[in-house]
Order: sequence, then C-alpha cells, then structure tokens
Amino acid sequence: MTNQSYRQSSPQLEGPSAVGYLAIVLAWAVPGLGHLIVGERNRGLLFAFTIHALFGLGLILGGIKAINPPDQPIWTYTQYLAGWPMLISGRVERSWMGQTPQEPSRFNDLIREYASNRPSATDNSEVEDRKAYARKMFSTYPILTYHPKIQDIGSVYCGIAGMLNLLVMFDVLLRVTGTERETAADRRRTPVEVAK
Amino acid sequence: MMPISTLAYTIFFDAITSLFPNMDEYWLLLVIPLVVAITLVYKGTRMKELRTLPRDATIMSVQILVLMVFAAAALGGLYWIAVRVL
Repeated sequence: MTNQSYRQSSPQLEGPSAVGYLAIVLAWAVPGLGHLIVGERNRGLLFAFTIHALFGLGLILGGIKAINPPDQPIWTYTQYLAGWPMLISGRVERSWMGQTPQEPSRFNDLIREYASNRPSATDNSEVEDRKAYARKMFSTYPILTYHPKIQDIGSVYCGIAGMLNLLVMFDVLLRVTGTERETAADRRRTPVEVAK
Repeated sequence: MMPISTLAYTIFFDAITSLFPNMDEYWLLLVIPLVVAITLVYKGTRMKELRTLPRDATIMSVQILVLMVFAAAALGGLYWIAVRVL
C-alpha cells in the first residue's frame, strides 16, 4: 500500500482520523504496529523486528536487572517507551526485585538467605569455605551476581529500543497527518523560491 | 569450558555473563548491534522507498563506527598529551 491510503482517510485539513489516533497509540504499545495499521507493511515489520530484537537482546545481555537500573531512572523512562515488552519486563522486575532493599521480595529473601547461611570468617582458615559457599549460591542463583558493564549495556539496549520506538511513533504521526518531511533540497531553497 | 552456573541460567532473566563470564572483556563490541539497529530504524523513517535500505543502512553504520573510532583515537591522543606531555 502506498502513502496515499492513510492520507485519503485522514486529510490534512481535518486532522487524523480515529484510526490515525489509534495507530499512534498502538505504535507505542506494540512497536511497528502503527505502520502496519497505516498500510506501511514492510516498514512496520522492519520496525517491529528491530525494536523487539534490540529490547530482547538487552534482556539477554543484562537479564532482568537491565530493567529499571538503580540510580539511573533516565533509562527506566526511556525503556517504558518500548511498549509491551517493558510493561511485562517491568512487572516481572518489580515482583522479583521489590521497590526497596527492605521490602519483602524474592531477591531480598535470597540476599538474606545468602547472608544468614554464610560461613563465618573470623580467621583466614574459613575464607575458602566462604568462597565455596559463594560459588555454590551464585551457580544456583545467577541473579545474585553483579556484572556492571554488561548489565549497564543491557539497560542501554532496552532504553535505546524505547527511544527508537518514540522516533517510530513520530513517523506514524507524520504519516497520519499527511505532513511532508523537509528534504535536504527543501532546506537549500531560499525564502523567495519557497514563496513561489 | 562452560561454568557450572549454566545449570541455573534462565534466558531473559539472568545476565548472559553467567554463561560467558569473560564477556565483560569484549563489551565494546556490543556497540555494533546497537549502531545497526539505530541505523535501520532511522533510515526506515527517512527513506521513501525501502529498496535500498540494506545498502544505505550499511553505509551509515560504517560511517558511525568509523567516526567513533576516530573520536576515540582523538580523545586517547588528548589524554596521552595531558598525561605524558603537560
């Protein structure tokens, strides 16, 4: 389908139609769906694949800790722009990690279990016991481990996926309002040429 | 050799470093998929026809990566001057 289809249904003078507004909202909820609705099938599939893949890759790299990274709320805000992947991941993250270190959560319970069962280290002879205990716990519960670089990159991937979805939403907006993008040739035109 | 932690690894939940503990050393390479994704979406919104998207996206990705290498070299050079010369 061409650009004409959604411009005809939403002429510039009358503003976007109900389908146009729906397309903008759905473009946020499901990356790429806005373009599919306005008839840009290939573009929609490209955006859907790229944004979902980037968000998924961020989760694969950083795990659930890539979501809502502590002390970096800017990434949380941008991650929410990715729509449903973040809504689900954010819910899982909140249910596992809790809002504060004091709040009962599965992660905080694990931390408490780790701390309470850890062999004491009053002298050097028990250091090996503590190391073995830590290795066992980390292998059983990898969520307890901390990998700052990779988890940060995971957060960035998910955040950039959200920002790219914002770009895609603006593109849907331009298309449903029938707004022409300014090209490089347009920018080179003088005011006199534009007036003609 | 895979570490024992692979037994408990859950995809999308645990960090991939549980599977590949040395991945921290290659973190800089992870910028490549990020640049490719950004380029694909940016070009996808700018181009009227998607027929030449692969070629244009590849060119732009390479341009960004080359620029980043030059920027890193320039910053590294400035750092070297600041530490060794000044």
